[in-house]
Amino acid sequence: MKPARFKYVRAETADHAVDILSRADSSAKILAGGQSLIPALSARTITASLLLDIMRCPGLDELSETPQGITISAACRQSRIELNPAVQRAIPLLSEALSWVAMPQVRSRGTVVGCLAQANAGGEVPVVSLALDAELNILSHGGVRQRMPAREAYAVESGTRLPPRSLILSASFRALAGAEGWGFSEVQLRPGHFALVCSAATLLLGEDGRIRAARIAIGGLTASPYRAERTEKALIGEAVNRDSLFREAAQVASQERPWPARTDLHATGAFRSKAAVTAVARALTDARGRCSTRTGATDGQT
Amino acid sequence: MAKPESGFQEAARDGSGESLTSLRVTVNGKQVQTVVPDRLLLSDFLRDHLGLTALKVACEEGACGACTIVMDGDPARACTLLAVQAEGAEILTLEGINLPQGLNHVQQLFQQSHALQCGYCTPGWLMTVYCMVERSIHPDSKQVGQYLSGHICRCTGYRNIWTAVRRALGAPNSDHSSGKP
Amino acid sequence: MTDRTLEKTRRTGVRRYMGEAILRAEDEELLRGRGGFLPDLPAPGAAEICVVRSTEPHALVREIRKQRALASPGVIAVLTADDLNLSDDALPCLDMIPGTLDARQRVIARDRVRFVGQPLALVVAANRYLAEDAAALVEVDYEPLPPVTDHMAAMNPGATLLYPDLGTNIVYQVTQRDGNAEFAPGDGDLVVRKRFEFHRQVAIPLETRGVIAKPIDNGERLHVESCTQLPQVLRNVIAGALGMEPQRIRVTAPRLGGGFGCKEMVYPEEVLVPAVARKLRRPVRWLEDRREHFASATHAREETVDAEAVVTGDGVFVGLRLAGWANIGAAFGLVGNTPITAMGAMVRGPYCVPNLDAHMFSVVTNKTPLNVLRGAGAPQAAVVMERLLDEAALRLGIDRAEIRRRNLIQPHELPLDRGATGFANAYHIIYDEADYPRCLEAGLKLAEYETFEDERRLAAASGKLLGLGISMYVEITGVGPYETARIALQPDGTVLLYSSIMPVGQGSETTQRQLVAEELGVPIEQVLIRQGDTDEVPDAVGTFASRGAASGGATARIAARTLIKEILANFASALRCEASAVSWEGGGVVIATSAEEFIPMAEIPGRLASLRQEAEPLRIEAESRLEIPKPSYSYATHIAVVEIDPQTGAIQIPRYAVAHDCGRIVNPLLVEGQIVGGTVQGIGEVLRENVVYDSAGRLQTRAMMDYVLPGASDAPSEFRLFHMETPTSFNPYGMRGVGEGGTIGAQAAMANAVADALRDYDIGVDGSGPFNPAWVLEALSRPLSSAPAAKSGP
Repeated sequence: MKPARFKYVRAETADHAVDILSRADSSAKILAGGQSLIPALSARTITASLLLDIMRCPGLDELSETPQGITISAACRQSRIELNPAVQRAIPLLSEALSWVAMPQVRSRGTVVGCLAQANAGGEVPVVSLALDAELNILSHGGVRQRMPAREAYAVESGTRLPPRSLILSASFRALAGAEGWGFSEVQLRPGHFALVCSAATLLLGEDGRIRAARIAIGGLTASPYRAERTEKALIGEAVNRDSLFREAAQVASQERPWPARTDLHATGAFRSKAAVTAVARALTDARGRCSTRTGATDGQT
Repeated sequence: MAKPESGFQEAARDGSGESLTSLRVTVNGKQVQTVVPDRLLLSDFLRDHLGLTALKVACEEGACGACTIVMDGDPARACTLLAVQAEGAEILTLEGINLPQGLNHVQQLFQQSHALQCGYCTPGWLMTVYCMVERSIHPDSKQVGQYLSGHICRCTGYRNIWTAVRRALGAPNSDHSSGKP
Repeated sequence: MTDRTLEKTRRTGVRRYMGEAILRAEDEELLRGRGGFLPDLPAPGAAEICVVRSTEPHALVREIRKQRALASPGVIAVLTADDLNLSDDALPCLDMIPGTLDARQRVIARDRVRFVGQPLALVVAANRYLAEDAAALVEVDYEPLPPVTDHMAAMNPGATLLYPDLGTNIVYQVTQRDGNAEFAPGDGDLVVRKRFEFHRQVAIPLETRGVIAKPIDNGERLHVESCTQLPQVLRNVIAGALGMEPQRIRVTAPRLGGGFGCKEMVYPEEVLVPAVARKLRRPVRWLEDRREHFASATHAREETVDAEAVVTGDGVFVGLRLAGWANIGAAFGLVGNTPITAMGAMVRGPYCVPNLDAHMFSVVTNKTPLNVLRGAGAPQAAVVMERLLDEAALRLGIDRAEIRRRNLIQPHELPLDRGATGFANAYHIIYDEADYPRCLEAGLKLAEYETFEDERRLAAASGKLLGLGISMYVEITGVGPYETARIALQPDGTVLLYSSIMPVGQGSETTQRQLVAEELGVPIEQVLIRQGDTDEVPDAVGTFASRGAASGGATARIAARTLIKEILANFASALRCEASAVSWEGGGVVIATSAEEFIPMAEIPGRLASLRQEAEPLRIEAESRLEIPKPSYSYATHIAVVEIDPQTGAIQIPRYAVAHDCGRIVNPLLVEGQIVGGTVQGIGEVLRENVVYDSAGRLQTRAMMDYVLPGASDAPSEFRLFHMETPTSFNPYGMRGVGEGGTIGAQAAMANAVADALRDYDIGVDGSGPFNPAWVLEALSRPLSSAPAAKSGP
């Protein structure tokens, strides 16, 4: 299992990278962490004429924080972000989700933005990007920059709507509000294996103890992740002390999937639909448990 | 005597499209400067070009952990990296942490606990455990299971590996539990 | 020197090694990363081979075009069947009893391919990267034929035949009988019928296969290095295939990175690579990659079995009638018919069941050839018996432990002839001494069976389904037909054992050194071991069927005893004294002169040399050959406690207990390792492992992430072990084998535990699952309309 021939180029800057991409053939690929790309090249399930390594481009290893949220650049490695104190403080949902990505020995090399670009079915980072209203900062040929919401990027049955021959410079995740609870739940065959389904949820409660806002994102059930928007709207105004609330909401969330449930070697669509109910219910329950316990200085991970 | 990589150089010279790139990397404390094919996997570079055959190639997918090395202080898979991606990096393989003779503390724990049978996966485990010890991971923390999930062992059933790893992380000698949360 | 004289010697103050948890000396090299595995061996000047493999499950091959591949950079040769001059291109099958049809695998396909992964051509290039580039350019014109993947459908009239000349897809059958094979339902009060589906699994050792071959001795001989458990068998096969005398082939096998049965095989590549070396007159190497391994290393376990048991109202099994069909893939593995034969041979396990009528068949299909995998058919057999027992217990309202007690063979009934149930030539299986009832009680106690129902209720209160499953098995071990060993007292005073047993992880090097050290009464550090070289051990049977210690080790110990006799004879002759004047004691020679002189082993070579007035210290050799007419049998009780999460279908194992008996234990540390390792492998096999083909015969599980192996989190939270050591008269040292029992007990214990946890649901077809989360949720969607009455407690 050795890769077929390709040319390897180290991009000097992000602009240099998209310039090369624009002139290369359509099989040219960005190389960041390579944890998905290299095995696929070794198995020769994909080929590439050119691999463009962006890991040394200036500015692409930066993480920046504002009151609105955190921006993670393309070369930031998953394990560094998982353990970063600012991330654990402002967007602990991402930190928790990252701890479910593959295993530590892969996270040391893979990048957060790479997960977003790769958009593997069941990918944990895309799911969190939907729950945290992430925006992708994209650079295309000629210096053209655009911000694309993650929701738009994944609004397609499989793959992404990212413009061809573009580079995601960074992804901005909104910070959780002070009293906003969050939860992440994954169903997998065993640790170290893929997510069969996963869910990220946030909840904001009013002073009356009723739900003011909810975000529910589901991955793995369908090839692309989605937000269960009807369920989110239906939850508004509900009291969270009803035991069956989250299970019912999870049923609706699973059913409102925009595309067919996914069947593969590891699980049928029927299984995934049921497992998704469990994952969503657990994520919502965990989110409820974290509502109004959050202050500026809480721990991010349990 | 033809070395494995010479075919690449010939192929590059005859203009057939094999692309080569220079590489400077520190391996087990020694600087290596060479030219390698772009597509050469780091696992093959370390094993075939540098003769560091402790790490094993068992899946070439990043799934099994037998090729685990330490790269810039982190445990990493050698088979899911190109050699050229290691430019400027510091790499440690098992050969770099072995004592001049005999077994180091972690290796002794593995032997005492019978935490290896065929031994093929063992070098990979030892590199992960090296990192866990360096990072002072607590033996009861849930991170232990995460690190161990990065390795497959087909022989031992893992029970003795848990014992050896927990002892390496400071669990008392009398601890015979699997320690799984 | 007679045996009686030897027995008179007493050893005092000598280190004992039998039963000692000696740490493995081989660990030092392994832990330092210098295990000397085949991929690590230097192969100076070797060209790399990439095998071009069939992408069609069933097709005629009209043409293979090599031109584009030959023009690819770095290519030395592209070879097909016509280029290789093979004298015999059929690979052996050792269990072709009379009446078996010839479905032996061919070394390389010519005009027909029968499974995805079958070798078609070989590309030889400067390195593996370039070889793969060229292999992708080899063009094959296939004319597809309808694929057959279902073994039951393959037997239907009109089904496509894999071997039209044979006229059928049923290529092997064996009938196994005991007692009155015509027993009838009327002989009991209850008939229990079940169909079992056993899914396809694979061994997946961490080390894939590999072969290095080079001409040596000026091209007169070929040296072949291969990851094989059977170097001597391989040498003979290569010789036959290449039309050379066996002495012209030297096979060496390095330490193996796991085998589990898939290296107990003679593979096409093990003949092809030497053929290429001979043709090109240069060293060549082939290292299998993991994707190749999934398609071309042997598969295992796939069977369908129909079972019918006649049982009395007291739960006593009167008779068992079986029909079974193995899906053996496209051709015979080396012992491809063994697993289905093991079903009939071992299904009754430790239970009496006096009457047996079993008809077992092998059916060819367009899948990868089947061979043995740890347990070799016995895991499936245990599932059959144990599920029938639980079903009978349920229907008769008898406690599950009690029904087993009522069926166990009692110690005084052993040895027991089990009828015409054996392998190959249908010889009789004869069980040796054992105490099955004590083993069962020990297991039940260890697992806390008595209080389990309380546990179940507690778990149910927190929404979890708890189940307990019991299994017992008897395992054929220490098989013959014979084994050999050579041993030498070297000039430097150490002893070197040339062993027939390959280290595959089981610690055979340490075990055999312990046995030899025990026999000689010397420190184990003075005992060295080598194996795997047909020049050093030309005739041996090999490593499989849990025979490393019991057969190989016993042979080694006998060789040590023979060495002692040789040494004493040498002294008697050098001293010109009576044989009775010299004896072996305390790890050396005692000469009964007035001074009672003692010469420790390390000094013997020098001492003998000076006695004989020779300049150099002597080397003394001895050999042994142990005829093994009867295998011995290990047995165990396995009890699994499983906890099912009904929301996700996940299965955890909070507790697992094993009470086992492998006779005299050589090294308890290694024995435990085999049991735990085998058990976790068996657990993984029934929880998740599954080889999947689509209906068009294309393999879907092609990579490590496709085939889900057990991980560290799958080890049972608590693993309890109890050893019994009942010596067996079938082995010179009372040893029984250990190594495979873990999978045998685990599959059945887990099947019963899962069925017990889901006792209020219809679990569908019985067998080995896999009981993955999707299967569990499916079962949970089918509650039984009338949940059965709670099982009676102890």
